[in-house]
Amino acid sequence: MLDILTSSLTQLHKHIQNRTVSVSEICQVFLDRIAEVDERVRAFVNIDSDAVLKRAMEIDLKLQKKDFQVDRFTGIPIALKDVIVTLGQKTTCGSKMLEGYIPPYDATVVERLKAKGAIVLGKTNCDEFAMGSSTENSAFFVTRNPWDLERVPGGSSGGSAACVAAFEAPVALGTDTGGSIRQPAAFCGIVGLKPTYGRVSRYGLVAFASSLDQIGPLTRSVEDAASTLSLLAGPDPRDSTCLELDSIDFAANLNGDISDLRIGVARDWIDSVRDPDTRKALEKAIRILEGSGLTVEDVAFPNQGLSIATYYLVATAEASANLARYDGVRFGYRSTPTTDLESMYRKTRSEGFGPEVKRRIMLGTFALSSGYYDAYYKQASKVRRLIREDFLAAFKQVDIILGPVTPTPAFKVGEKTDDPLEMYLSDVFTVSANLAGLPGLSLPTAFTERGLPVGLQLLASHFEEEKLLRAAHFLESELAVEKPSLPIG
Amino acid sequence: MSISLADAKRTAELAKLEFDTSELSLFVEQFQKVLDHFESIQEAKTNHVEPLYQPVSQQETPMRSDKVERQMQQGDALRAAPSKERGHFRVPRVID
Repeated sequence: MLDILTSSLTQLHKHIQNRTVSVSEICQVFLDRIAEVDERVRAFVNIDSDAVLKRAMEIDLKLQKKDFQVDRFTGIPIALKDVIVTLGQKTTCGSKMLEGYIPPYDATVVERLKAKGAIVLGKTNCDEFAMGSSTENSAFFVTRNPWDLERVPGGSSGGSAACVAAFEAPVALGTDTGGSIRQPAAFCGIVGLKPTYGRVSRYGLVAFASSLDQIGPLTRSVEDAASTLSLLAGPDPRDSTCLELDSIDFAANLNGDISDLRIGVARDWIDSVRDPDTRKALEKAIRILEGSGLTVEDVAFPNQGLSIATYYLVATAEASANLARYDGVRFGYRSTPTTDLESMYRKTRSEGFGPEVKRRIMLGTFALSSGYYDAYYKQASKVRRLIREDFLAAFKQVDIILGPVTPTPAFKVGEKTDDPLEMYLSDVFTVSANLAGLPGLSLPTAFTERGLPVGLQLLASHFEEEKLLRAAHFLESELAVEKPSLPIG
Repeated sequence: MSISLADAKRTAELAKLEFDTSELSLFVEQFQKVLDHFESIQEAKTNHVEPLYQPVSQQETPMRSDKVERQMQQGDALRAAPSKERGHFRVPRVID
């Protein structure tokens, strides 16, 4: 019996291409799995099974013709984080503000995947407007970590990470503004890839911080992440920050020779990690790279200590501007009854947004306001340049930077919700890649004795995803992480 | 630097958010803690450093030719409106 649930994208594609399994059967298997486990995992906020199976049947009909062109993603079901708009299908951003919102258009990434015959499996839960590191800020419910249901899956792409880890989908899309793909990938024991800023179009991604946001894949292997990136990447005139770059098949050279890659170890980052399992996993990976004859040296980032302050000033400032559109006028929640426009704005926003979103809007508004703009937003933007320069200097000596993703494995639900600053500080290893616009990947590295995943992070210079994926693919096969069985079965 | 209740009220006014007194006090407390951490950026040597607003440099904003392309139809734009009338978005009284 073919195990569809655990198949890679390549394997699923071969089944479809050879007509050994129908697309309808593949989709039904995933829908059955969702029905079996999602009451406990709670990864999805919205699934239209009828629409999924209808689309699957349409593709199966086309497959009856022998000469029908089967692309790599034809018939593949993909879950999407609910900050990516889907035409005619609810898109909530995990917020009361958009609880019933049905977008009139598809995001560019959705158009691209539909054009290649992929099927939108459903929309996944996330922290409200992608603001958070645990998915506990969703207005609807908390997604659980499939490895331990008392723990968070990470955030803000917690639903996407959990559904891939739990075999509810073969691939999911998330978004990463300060680590929101890489951190949940590490907490859930899967691969998470944040592309270079400007690699993937943000058109149709509900904006949080426009100079930091990127869409990227969450998958169970580096190869799957590489092929998904090939599907997503490409210029888009509707996003002026999406660059005209040559189209690359990122999965073509994964087995290529890695002897040309120089590895930089973020030694200070690793030394600051107190969790013994995380440190052990990182040291193991470093020894593997040293043992394979690669040049491995320590690299330093003098301005790393300022990265959280910089990120939370820049990101919240941009968020305060981007979330100004939620005013109850044209779409989304509107508070009623109200007597005048001003009070409608204030009540709509106060009732529609959750506490973390309001906290960040307030922080950002303050940082941009008269009298404080220079000291906070402008100063943070200058430090942002220093942080980027640290990386550019490092990338003159090395091709890949290796470091931790998170200070610890997944924490318990409710553990960090009382102290916003403590939650912010847990992003310390991920935010700088967003500030600098670099591509980053989270790779499953080990399991703790309690059966919790531990990941490591690889970074490359701008537009060097090919090197990043090649290094990650090599480490993935050398580490050969043996995954325990999921507690949910 | 220290955040006062007046600072918080002014910020809320700008952000078009409203808080009750206890919410605002809690906010000031959390805000102060976060701002104290942010003070570290004042130590950075940024005298001759230009701010960075875009992480990946572009030579100039890409332009397109000035011809009408596909656009959203009025019906689609109005479909999600909480209140609409005769092709317009309907809102409460604007002018006193």
